[in-house]
Amino acid sequence: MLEFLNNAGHVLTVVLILLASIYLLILFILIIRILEQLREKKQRNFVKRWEEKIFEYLANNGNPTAIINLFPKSNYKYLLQNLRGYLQTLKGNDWINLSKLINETKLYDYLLSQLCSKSEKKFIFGAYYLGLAKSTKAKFIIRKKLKHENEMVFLSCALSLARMNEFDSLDDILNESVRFNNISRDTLLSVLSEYDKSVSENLSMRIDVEKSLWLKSIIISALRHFKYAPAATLILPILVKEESIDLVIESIKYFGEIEYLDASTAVRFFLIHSRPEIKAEAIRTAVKIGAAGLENRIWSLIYDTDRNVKETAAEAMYGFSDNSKDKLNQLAYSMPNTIESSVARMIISEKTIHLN
Amino acid sequence: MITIIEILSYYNYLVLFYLLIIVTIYIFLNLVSFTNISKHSKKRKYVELKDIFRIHNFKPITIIVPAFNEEDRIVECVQSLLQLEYPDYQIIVVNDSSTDGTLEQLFENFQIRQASFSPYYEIESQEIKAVYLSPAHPNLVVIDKGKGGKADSINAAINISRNPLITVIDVNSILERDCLLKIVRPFMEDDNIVAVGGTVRIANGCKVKNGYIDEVGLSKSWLARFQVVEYLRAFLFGRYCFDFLNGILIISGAFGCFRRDALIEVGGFKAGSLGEDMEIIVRLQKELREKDPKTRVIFIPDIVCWTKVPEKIKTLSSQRVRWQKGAIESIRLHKALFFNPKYGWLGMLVFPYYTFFEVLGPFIEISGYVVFVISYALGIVPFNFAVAFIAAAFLYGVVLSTLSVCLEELSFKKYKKVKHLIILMVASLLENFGYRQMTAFWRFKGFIEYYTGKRDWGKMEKKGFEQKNEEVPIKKFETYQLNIKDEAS
Repeated sequence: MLEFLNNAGHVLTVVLILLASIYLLILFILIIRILEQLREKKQRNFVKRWEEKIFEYLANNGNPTAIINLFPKSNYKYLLQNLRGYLQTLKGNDWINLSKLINETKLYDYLLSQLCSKSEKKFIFGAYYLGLAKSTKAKFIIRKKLKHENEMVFLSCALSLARMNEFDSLDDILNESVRFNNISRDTLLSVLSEYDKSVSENLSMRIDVEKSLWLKSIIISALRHFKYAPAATLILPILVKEESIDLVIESIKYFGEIEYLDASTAVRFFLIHSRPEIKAEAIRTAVKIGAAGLENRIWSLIYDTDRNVKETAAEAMYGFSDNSKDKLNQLAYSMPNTIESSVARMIISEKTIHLN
Repeated sequence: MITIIEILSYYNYLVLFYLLIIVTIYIFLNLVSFTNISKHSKKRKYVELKDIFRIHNFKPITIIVPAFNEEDRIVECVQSLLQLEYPDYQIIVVNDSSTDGTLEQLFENFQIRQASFSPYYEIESQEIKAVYLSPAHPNLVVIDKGKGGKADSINAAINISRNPLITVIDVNSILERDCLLKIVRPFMEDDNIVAVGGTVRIANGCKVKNGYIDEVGLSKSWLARFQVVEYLRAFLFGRYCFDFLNGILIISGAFGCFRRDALIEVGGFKAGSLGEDMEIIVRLQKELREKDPKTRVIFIPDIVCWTKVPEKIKTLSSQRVRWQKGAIESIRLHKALFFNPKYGWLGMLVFPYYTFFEVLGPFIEISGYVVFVISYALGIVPFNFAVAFIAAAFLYGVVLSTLSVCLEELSFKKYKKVKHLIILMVASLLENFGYRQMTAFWRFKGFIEYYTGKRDWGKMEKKGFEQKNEEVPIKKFETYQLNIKDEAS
C-alpha cells in the first residue's frame, strides 16, 4: 500500500478514476431525469386524452372495444394505472362499464400475457388488475400461483381471487398463507375482507376443522368484520375452551360486534381473567351485549391493577346508567386523590367536554 | 526510537486509511440500502393504505408535540396535524412552561377549555398543572406542565395518552398527510416491532399550503442545500442498511412512532438527556432485547416528515455540537452493548461502528487535517501522499454525495424540477470542500465540550414556515367519523 502511494502514476490513476466516477454519476442522474420527464409528459398527454374519452364512454354507455382500440398497446400500462383509481371508487353501472374495458377488450389479452410471463413483476401487475376488474376467466391461472414461493406473488394471487369472490380458493389461500413468516394477521385479514360478505358461510365452516389457532383467530376476525351472526354457536365453545389469548380476545370481540346475548355468561367469566387485555375486552363486550347485573363487578374492576382495565371499567360505568354515572362522579370528586379517582376524573372530562 | 516525524508520518497514513474505510463503508451501505428500498417499494406498490378505514382494524395513535416558546409556530403545526388521514388519532400538545404566548395561541385558535383531568404518573415527569380539551376538536389535548425539557414533556403526554401507539414530532415538522397510515402498518404486521422511524427531509425552500408541503423546493441558502444532501445520505441510504441488521440506534426526534407499553416498560424518555431521541432507541434495543431477542426497531424510508433546518452557521453549529454530545452520552450510558454478542449485529457491528466512526470520527478527521497540513508544510509527507490524501478526503466524498443524489433520483424523486436536481448535484460536490470539514469540527467541539463538562443544550433559533393559506375549514371530528362510516359501509 505504501509503495502504491509512493508511485505518482498510481495515485494519479486513482484520482482520475474518482473524477470519472463523479462525471459518470452526474451524467447518469441527468439521463434518468430526462427519461423520467419524457415519461411524465407522455403520461400527462395520455391522461388528458384518456379522461375525456372515458367520461364520454361512461356517459353514453359506449362500446368498450372501440374505446380501447383508440390506444396503442404501448399505452396500456398508463391506461390501467389511470383506471385503477376509478375501479376502486366507482360503483354500480359505472363500475360495470369500466370493468368491461378490461374484460371485453384487448386489455384482457394483454393482462393475460402478463400473467403468463416469467417475470414475477409482470405477473403481479396482471393479477392485480384482473382482480380489480373481477375477471373470473383468469382465475385458474391465478389460483395455480398460490403455491408460488414468493410472498408477493402469493399475496397478489390471494387478493385477486378474493376480489373475484372466488370461494373455491378460500381454503388454498388460508392453507398457503401459513408458509410465509412475513404475512401478518392484518395482511391476511385485508385479503379476506376483499371477499363479499357471502364468504362468511365458507369461513364459518372452517372454524371447527381448522387446526391452526392463528388462522382460527383470523377467521373469527373476518366473521366479525362481516358481522356474521350464525357462526356464534360455533365460536362460543372456542371461547370457553380458551386455547390461546388471541383466540379468546377475537371471540369476545366477535360477540360484542354481533351483540350476542347468549354469550353473556361466558363473557362474564372473563371479567375475572388473569390477563388484563382479556378483562378489558370482556368489559367492552359486556357493555355491548347488555350487562344487567354486572355493574358491581365492573365497578370493582376500576380498582384493578392494570390501567387499561381501570379506564375501560370507568368508561363502562359512565355509560351504564344515571346511577353508575353518579357513582363515578362521586369517586372522581369526593374521594381522596387516588389512581382510581384520577381515572374517573379523566374519563368524565373526556365524556363531558362537549357539554360544557 | 520512534521520532516525532515518524509518528506524524504514521498518523497521516492512519487518517488516510480511516477516510478510505469510512467512505467505502458508506458507499457499501448506500448500495445495500438501495436494494432494500427497491424491495420495499415493490412490496408497497399495490398496498391500499386506506384499507384501514374499511376493515376497522387500526391501532389508535397519539401524536405528542412538545412545545416550549412556540407561539409563532404552534397554531400552524396543530392545524396541519388535525388534517392527517387516520381513523383514530389524538394530538397532545405539551406546553413545557413556555414564557411566551404558546398557550394563549392555543386558547385563541382552538377554543380549548380546562378539563378536570387528573392523571396518574406511570412514568416520572414534572407535575401536570392543567389539561385542556377542545370541544371543536375532541382529538386535541393540551397539557400545561412544569418545566422539564423535551423528554420530560413526552413522558407527561405518555401519562395522559390512552392509545397504544405514540408518535413524537417537533413543532417545526410537517407530516405528509398519509404518514400515520404508513407508520401504523409495521406495528400491525409484526408484534415484535416497538419503534418505527421515518425519513426526515428538509422543508427550507418548499412551498407550504394549509399546513402541508405543496411544492418541494430548495432553499436559496447553500447551508440548507448542503444539509439536504447530508440528510439524503444519512436517512435514505445509511439507516436502511442498519435496519436490515436490526441495528437501528437512532430515530430522529423530529418524527418517530413507538409502542406505548414498550416506552412505559423502559421508564419513558430520559429527562434532561442531550440526545433523548438516540438514548431512548438504544435503551429500547438494550432492555427489551434482553427480555425478547425478537424485539425490533425499524426504519421505513417512504414515511416522510419535513422539517426546517438552520440556515445560520451559529445555529447549525449549536445543533451539531448538541447532537454530538447526545450521541456520546448514549454511547457511554449503554456501553454494555459494545461488542456484546447477546445483541447480535447491533452489539457486534453497529454499536462499535457508531462508536468508532460517528463518535470518534470527527476527532480523528480534524486531528488528521491538522497533522496533514503540518506534515506537508514540514516536508514530512511526499507530494504523492498529499494528492492521495486530498483525493480520499474530498473526491471520494464527492463520489459518495453524488451517489446519494443519484439514488434519490432512482427511488423517490421528490425534487421535480431539473433546476433543483442540478443544484443538488452542485451541492453534493461543494459540500465536501468546507461544509463537511466544518460539521466535523463542530462534532469535534461537541466531543471536547462533553468531556470538559459543558453539557447544556445551547440555544436554537426557531423559525416558522412561510405558508400560503386558503380558507379550508379544519376537518372536525364528527365529520371525520361520518366519513369513516361511509367508507366502511
